[in-house]
Amino acid sequence: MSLLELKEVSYAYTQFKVVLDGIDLTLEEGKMYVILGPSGCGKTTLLSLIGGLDIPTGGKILFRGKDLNEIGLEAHRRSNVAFIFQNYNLIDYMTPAENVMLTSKKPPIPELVKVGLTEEEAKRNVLKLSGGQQQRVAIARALACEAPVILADEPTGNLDEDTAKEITILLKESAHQLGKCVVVVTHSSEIAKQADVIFRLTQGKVHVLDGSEPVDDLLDKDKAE
Amino acid sequence: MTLWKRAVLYFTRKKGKSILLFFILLVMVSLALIGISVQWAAQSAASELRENLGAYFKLENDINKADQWKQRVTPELCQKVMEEEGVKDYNGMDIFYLNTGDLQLTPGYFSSSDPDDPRGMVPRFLANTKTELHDQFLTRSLELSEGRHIAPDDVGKCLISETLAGMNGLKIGDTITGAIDEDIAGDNAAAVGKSFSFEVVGIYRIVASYPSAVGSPERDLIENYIFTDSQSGFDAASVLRGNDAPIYRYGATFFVKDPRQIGNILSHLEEREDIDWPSFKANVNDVAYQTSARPLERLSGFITVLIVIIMAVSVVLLSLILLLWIRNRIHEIGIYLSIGIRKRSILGQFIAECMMIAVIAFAASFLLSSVAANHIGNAVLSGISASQTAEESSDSSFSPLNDPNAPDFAAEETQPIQVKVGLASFLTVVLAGTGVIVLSVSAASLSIIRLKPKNILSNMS
Repeated sequence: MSLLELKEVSYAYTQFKVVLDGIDLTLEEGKMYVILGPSGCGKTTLLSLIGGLDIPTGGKILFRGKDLNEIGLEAHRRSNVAFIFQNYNLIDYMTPAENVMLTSKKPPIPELVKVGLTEEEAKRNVLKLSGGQQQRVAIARALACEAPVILADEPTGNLDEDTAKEITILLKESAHQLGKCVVVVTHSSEIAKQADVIFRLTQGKVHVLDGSEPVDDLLDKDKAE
Repeated sequence: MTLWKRAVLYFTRKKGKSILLFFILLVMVSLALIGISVQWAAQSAASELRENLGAYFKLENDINKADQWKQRVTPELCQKVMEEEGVKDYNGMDIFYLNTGDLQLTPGYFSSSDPDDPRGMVPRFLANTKTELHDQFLTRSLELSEGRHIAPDDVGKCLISETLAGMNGLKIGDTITGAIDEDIAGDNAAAVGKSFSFEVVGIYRIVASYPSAVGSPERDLIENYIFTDSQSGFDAASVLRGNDAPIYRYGATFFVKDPRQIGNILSHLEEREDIDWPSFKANVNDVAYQTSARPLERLSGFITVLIVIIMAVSVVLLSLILLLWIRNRIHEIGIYLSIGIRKRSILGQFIAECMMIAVIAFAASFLLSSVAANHIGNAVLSGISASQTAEESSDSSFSPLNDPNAPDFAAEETQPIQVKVGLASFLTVVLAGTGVIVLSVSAASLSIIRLKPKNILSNMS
């Protein structure tokens, strides 16, 4: 059975501003998905719908065959999905360890060490960490909660090239080694190249890329749009 | 992570905000606590004063309508008045004169002119149901120094002055005798020679200073006043006037539990069909209440307004501050929502943070208020008393008495009140403070928490 299914999912801000138009998608565990598309095409909206931050104006989303409305959006966010954001979204008055403890009862230090932080760094205030370290904390928080779905919105957008590569590897390992379903919205060709499946969202529709057109060309096209 | 843990982390890590909130709450709670404590102390003191000071109205036949009297002030009438709610006691009064013969009186006009003038041997007998309720004793012009007061069931008892007792070697248990002479009897010749005996049950001291005796008849000198019981008054009147019906010719004073109710009591009496109100006049005396209890009541009213203002300002100020702070925490709310923390848990965390600070502020305010409440309460009270005095002196028409001749209670300065911050007032403020905090936090959080998580996250970015 697929982990997540989107059936005829639509989302419209108004009657005349439709961003998602009857999208059908199937997402599975152990795979890393990347969603590309020009700015404002609805990538983040799609991620929000999958993550239960918002409800579609049409269609339905199923998690393990069950409608999200039945599961409850709060419960879905708490148990089924974990978010990683471009600006890390850590609680600024907590240490990395405490941020991880927000979503998990596991001892937080080992979780942070797994993503490359030292024990000493795990006990500092998060604001005293670099961007890369903060994103690692966000990834550790996402992994520690044991949600089967990780939703990442531009996770390397604020990071330097080397750190971005490391974060990309962490996300890929989460999918391939931990069996997570990782969905990444990005403009980064580095991440896109690591994906198992690439979707392109344009004019409210999702297309699966078959590799006939190079990713870099598509990204250039998105930037131009 | 539980909401309590999150709240503790915020409370301990955001020290600046915590300290600021602590001081805001400390000031608000202390003001409210001081206000409530002062109000309760003032109310309690005013209530006690009203009971203790008392106020009364004197009911007597209206001399200007002597030909229209349908009803007299009798013991039966007094019982009817006593049935009124709020009337707690009464003293019926009469005055009569007897010649006490050899009893040495303080010399006055008659004996200084002619030592053998029988009028110089006539003191004033003041019949009372209860002498302790006679205005001379109430105003503390006279004070019982020995023995006891005259009680309603007494017959043939009297109180005499220390002067009279000293001049005649009288002590408690001795008897004095008075008789009706020709001058007293007037046209009632049959009454001449009738005598009455009185056992001395009490001796009084003259506290107030009275005008010089020179030129005053013996009967008008305070030293020669002999207070006796009502029954003796009725007996003497019966012999002198041939009338068996007991009458309080000098009226009766009725004491009320609460001076504020005196108007209502009189209105109700006026409406009663079994009392012929036009036959009487009623003089109200609530000077002591006006002087002593009114400032306390004004203080209580002033504090009530103050407490309402403090609470209103507290809610508005706290809501505004918290609204500002919580709006700045939209990022945090978005994160919590995105990781599935329930909205009520987020609200609970915010309330818990404030409550942790509030608990410390409550404890500190208890200590602060305990020290300050008494000083502040009495400072405000003396300010109110001073302003009342100024109002009274600038208002020449001010008089609590309908009749300037009506006896006064001793006018006292408003005494300081004892303000203590008790457990009840503390708990009241804690409950109210908790309510204010929960309301303020909820109001401040509502606008953000009711947003969809996606909108919050959009605002974040």
